[in-house]
Amino acid sequence: MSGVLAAFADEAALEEATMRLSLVPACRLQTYTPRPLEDDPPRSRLPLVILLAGMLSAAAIFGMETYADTASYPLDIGGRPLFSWPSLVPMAFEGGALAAVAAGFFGFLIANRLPHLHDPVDESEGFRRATRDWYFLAIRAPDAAALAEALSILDELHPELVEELPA
Amino acid sequence: MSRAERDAWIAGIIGLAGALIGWVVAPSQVPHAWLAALTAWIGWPLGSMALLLTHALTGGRWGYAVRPALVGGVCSLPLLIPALIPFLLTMPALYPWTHADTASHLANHFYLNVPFFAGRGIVYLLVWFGLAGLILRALRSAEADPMLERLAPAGLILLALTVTFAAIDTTMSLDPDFSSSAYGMIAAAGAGLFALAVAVLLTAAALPPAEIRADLGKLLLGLVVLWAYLDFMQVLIVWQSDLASEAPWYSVRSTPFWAVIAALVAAAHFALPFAMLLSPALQRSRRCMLCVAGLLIVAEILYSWWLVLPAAPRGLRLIDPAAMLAFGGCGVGLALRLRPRPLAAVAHHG
Repeated sequence: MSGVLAAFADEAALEEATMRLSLVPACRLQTYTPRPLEDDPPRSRLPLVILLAGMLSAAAIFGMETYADTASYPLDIGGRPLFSWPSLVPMAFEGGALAAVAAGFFGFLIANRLPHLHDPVDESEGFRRATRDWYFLAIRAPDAAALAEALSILDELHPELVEELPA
Repeated sequence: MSRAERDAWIAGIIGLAGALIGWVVAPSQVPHAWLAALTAWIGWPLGSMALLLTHALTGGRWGYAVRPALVGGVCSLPLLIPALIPFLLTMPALYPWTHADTASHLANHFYLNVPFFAGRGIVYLLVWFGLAGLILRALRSAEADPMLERLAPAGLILLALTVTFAAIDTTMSLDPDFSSSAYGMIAAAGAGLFALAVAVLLTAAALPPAEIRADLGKLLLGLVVLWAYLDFMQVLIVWQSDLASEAPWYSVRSTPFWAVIAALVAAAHFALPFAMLLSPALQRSRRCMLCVAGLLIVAEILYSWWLVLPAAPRGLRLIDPAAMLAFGGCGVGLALRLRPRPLAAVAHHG
């Protein structure tokens, strides 16, 4: 798989390039920008995953405590009822919070394909400007024909910089 | 007089008339009804002052958006003076420690006695009215923000102390044996939450931008969680220690009727607002924020009834909503009457 890195001066140019290049079949596109794009990104499913992980864990821990206190190892503590729910809440809450945070942390890593310690774009000298003012687009083409098509489209867009990426 | 102000005064007068009828028909129900309404309402001016001073220290666009509503809350404080008269007249019916025979058994009699109670009450009034005066003076001046900022540290410390002790004196001492170190903090968190909910309700009608609604939603969420945390810790500690001096406080508040009210409070003061405020999309929706604010106000009213009325002991009577309406109507009426006019216009630029 070979690739090419192109830089644009503003967001509008990047957007046009992304739109046109996405029509080239089998090309994979990745953008790198100095600030968040103004277009709303598609809604992430991560919040829902975090919520479900938190709720399910809290319910599971509460259920486990209830089972332990009433069925598996009933113990009379100062005459309190066996199902002493107020004392079960802190553990259920903390377990739920832990699971939610863990789901958020690992879910974020998985969703962003991290950790990803090296990428061919790191080899490019000009790529540093992605942290300052240029909008970068990395294009991966499966074969020479697709790469040539992508390059011909890029040519029409007059990018600030075009660099071939090492495989 | 604006239309809103007239409506507020009419509601207040209807409430007062209801309370007066209650006084004639069933005088024994007046003391607790009045104290519960006073407890709920006082959270508005005191919480508004706390939020204004907190915003002076933290900054943020949310504070400018709700400032006119918070100032209205501060302006309603003078209602406390006439409201204290029925309270002081009915004190012997409220507090067992005012009777010599009960008081002599109490270990905390050095604290709970009428002269010391009156002395503390005067200190609270001086602090509250002094702070309200200073806040309003600062807001009228050209450099409102730096003046409020200078006032805020000492003001917030004084408010925290007086609100804590006033809560202990007025509602915790209904049961002179009960003591909970979280009680004052629960009252303070409840007051802040109540004042912010009222401010959101009054401000949301003026259509603040969605980002400010989201900021207010996050703040409400924080206060909801704080209040729920403190209140639950009190339940948990009393439950686990199970002492004869503390547990009865919850026993009289878990009769079948009051247990239902407690469940409603748990739902309306924590579970529902918490679930609604979790979603950023709902925080941005104006209708959702109005619902949450209204729900929190109702919850705080229910909570005050749950705190005060079981001490009588009695259930909910018609006089209770009447007294609540009297405070709500007169409080809003007074706030609209005394509110500095130019402030609303200035605050829009903030």
